[in-house]
Amino acid sequence: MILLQSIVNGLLIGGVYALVAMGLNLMFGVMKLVNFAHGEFLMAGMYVAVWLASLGMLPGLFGIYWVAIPTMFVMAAVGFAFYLLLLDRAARFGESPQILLTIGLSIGAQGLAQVLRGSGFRLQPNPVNGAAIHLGGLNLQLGPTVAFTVALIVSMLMALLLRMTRFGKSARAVAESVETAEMLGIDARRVYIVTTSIAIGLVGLAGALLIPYHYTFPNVGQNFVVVAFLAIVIAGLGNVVGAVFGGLLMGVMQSLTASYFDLDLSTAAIYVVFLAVLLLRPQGLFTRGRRTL
Amino acid sequence: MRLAIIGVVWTIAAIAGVAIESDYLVSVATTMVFLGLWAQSWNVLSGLTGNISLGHSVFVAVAAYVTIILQQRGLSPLIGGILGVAAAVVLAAIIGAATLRLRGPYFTLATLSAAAVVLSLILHYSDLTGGPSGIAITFAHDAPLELEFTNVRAYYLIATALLAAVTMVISLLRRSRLGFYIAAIKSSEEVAAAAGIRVALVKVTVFCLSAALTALGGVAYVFYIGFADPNFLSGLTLSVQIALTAVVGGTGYLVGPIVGAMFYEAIDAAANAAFGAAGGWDVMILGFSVVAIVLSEPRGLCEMAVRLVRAIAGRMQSAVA
Amino acid sequence: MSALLELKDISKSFGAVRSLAHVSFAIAEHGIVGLIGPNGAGKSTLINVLTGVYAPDAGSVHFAGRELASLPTAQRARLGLVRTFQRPTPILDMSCVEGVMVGGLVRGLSIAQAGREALDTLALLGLRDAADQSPRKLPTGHLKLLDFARVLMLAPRLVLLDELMAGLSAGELAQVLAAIEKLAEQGVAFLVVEHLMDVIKRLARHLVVLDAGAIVAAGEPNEVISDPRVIEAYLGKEESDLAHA
Repeated sequence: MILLQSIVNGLLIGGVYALVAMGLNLMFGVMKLVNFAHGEFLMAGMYVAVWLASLGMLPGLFGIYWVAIPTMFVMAAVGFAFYLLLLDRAARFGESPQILLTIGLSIGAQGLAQVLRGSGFRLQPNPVNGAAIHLGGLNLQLGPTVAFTVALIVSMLMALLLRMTRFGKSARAVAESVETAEMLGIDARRVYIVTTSIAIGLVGLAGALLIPYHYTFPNVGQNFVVVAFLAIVIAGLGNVVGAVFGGLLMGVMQSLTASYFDLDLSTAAIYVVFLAVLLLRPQGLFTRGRRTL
Repeated sequence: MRLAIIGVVWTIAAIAGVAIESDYLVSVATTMVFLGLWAQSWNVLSGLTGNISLGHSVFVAVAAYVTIILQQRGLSPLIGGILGVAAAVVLAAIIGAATLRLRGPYFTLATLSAAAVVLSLILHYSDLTGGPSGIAITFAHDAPLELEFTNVRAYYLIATALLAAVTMVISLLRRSRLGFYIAAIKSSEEVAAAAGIRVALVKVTVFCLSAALTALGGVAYVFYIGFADPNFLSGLTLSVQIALTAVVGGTGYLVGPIVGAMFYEAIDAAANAAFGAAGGWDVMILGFSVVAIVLSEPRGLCEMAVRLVRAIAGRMQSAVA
Repeated sequence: MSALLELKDISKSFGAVRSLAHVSFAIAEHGIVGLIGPNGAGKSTLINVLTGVYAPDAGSVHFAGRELASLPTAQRARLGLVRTFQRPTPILDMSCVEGVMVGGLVRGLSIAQAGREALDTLALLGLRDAADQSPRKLPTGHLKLLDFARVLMLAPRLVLLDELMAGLSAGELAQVLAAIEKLAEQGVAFLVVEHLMDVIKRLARHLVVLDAGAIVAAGEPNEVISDPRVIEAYLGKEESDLAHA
């Protein structure tokens, strides 16, 4: 029973990882860019959501969740600006400078958050925090459960988006080969702009889903982004839907190792598993050979 | 000759450091020199081969802890330090060999993970390492054989000497046989292999060299600080700092990483003076400076300086003509 | 006298595609062997097998009396079996002479010696003037000659030339052909893969024709070129290079 509870906890935590990982993998798959600042966009989303929540909440148990959609749109707009102002210009310089730019942005954003909001830990009081559902002997924390549910729904929508819409097909074409896509008349730059907006919007949504039960503070993104990186490599770089499974898997691994090892060993264990996948099956666990999206 | 210039510059820097009255300033300078030393050592790997390592702090940590733990058991850090560096080299050989086939972000994530694993192990085996509280080195008197000095200027001299030595090594490396092989490999591993170069051996050698130089700095640093803090020594923050410092200064230039360290410390000191130590200003300014530099001249501050000098010289020429 | 290079019954498939089928021939020291065939015949695959990029499914390769088996490319190069690529492969961040010197360093020369020899090798191929330039400024034909110079610095015993001559002017071509003949006199063997029949007729002492992975003819160049099976093989594909023969 403890084992089952542990796995369930892991899956629920994994929901947020899945959302974060999806956006990260989308950006990597389409733009071949590793966005080291992804965690800071999560952090920004959380601060936006907390601020919105402080303005007021709807009545009812889930009243705080009204902030989710506005936060997502705000962050999508931020993503839009992020691409146009920064990534677009860095694109001409190549892969390395783009990575370095996101690293610089990452630490700059953490500093900015500290300057603007201080290093304090915030949590908007709300009925979701601490509440749990009891289901067949298992204890399901409400906050993570909502996040997990939303994450699953969103991932299905993303899969549909990528398969069925014109944007989705363009994105997959660009992910496969930019030259070929442009020869087919696809405007790669427009694809990049939309991709970034969606990816950052997704991570903003993740932030909004976190604030009912997770503290907000300047460095909060760091833990999530590293796990997200591990998740996307394990799932397969570029495999957006696989990233969901990667996120859930990371959640379960964290939960299971924490039950049996102390914190430090469990952290080490996760990285060791990651290294093993990276060295033995670098294309990821959930890809069949050379899939791109 | 380049080596002579480096020697002269070091002499000047050494004298200046010793002559300065303020202990605080010498401290700031020493920290800057250590950062430059690590960035310079990092550049041996990442500047010359193009693979960005975000795990270099692990070599600082391994060397530092081995030295301190051996000192606790009675071994002078002069010998313990050599063993510490050796341990870092062994680790580098393992990581280097394991990551031979990895490129770009895969390589970066692997180095990041290696450092995280070591950090976790250091925290876990707290009986040996003191866990999260680390190990303090306390001393009241000078003991050169124990690398214990009461005057911060001693550490300044050691640090600057190490930085000068590392810079000389890199200067020699670029013009050496190994330097040629590295440039060929960086251009194309396939071509290098077709020309008979033992690619795997060269890559691992470079990794080990970079680790050894970083580790040397780590040994000296931990005695300078007087404290081994695992979260810092093996942390992602330090690894990122080292990488960014080299890149901001310019990885293509021999003195690039040193310029980067000067830039970083200048910002840090200015932000602290203007806004106070805690508060995030220094981190924010540094991070956004990196963004600005990457967008305007990704080859770093040195390249910007060179372009500026050329522009001024050009304008002076046309003014005269 | 046993041959310098001996291929026995080499076969190689990629999935369902048969790239090489029972290929056997030999190259002696001082020998210049031409290898021709329509596009897709398997010429580059053969070179890749010889240099260790692909392992053959069957058959053996003996070089200087020794079976090469799964020896890696770099080691074969150090043994004296080198190649050039169809697409030029310059070492971008070094000057031309530095890029060529690398081969000499691998051979064990000091930097000074490698530098001097590299200049001589560049002169042999007519590239002396480009020594201190960056390869980025050179046309494709010259870049391929640079590759040739680099592997010559290894003091090789056998050089596999993969369509080296395309893109060279008449004067440059003449210089390179003279260089190859001079080197052959000194004992270096060559396998020359070419579409330019003039080059083949001038250089090759022995000619091997490959089509669809198999040898359809081998022997004295003039005889081979007029062999009906060879003409058939070419006419079945694109515009015949043999028209210029």
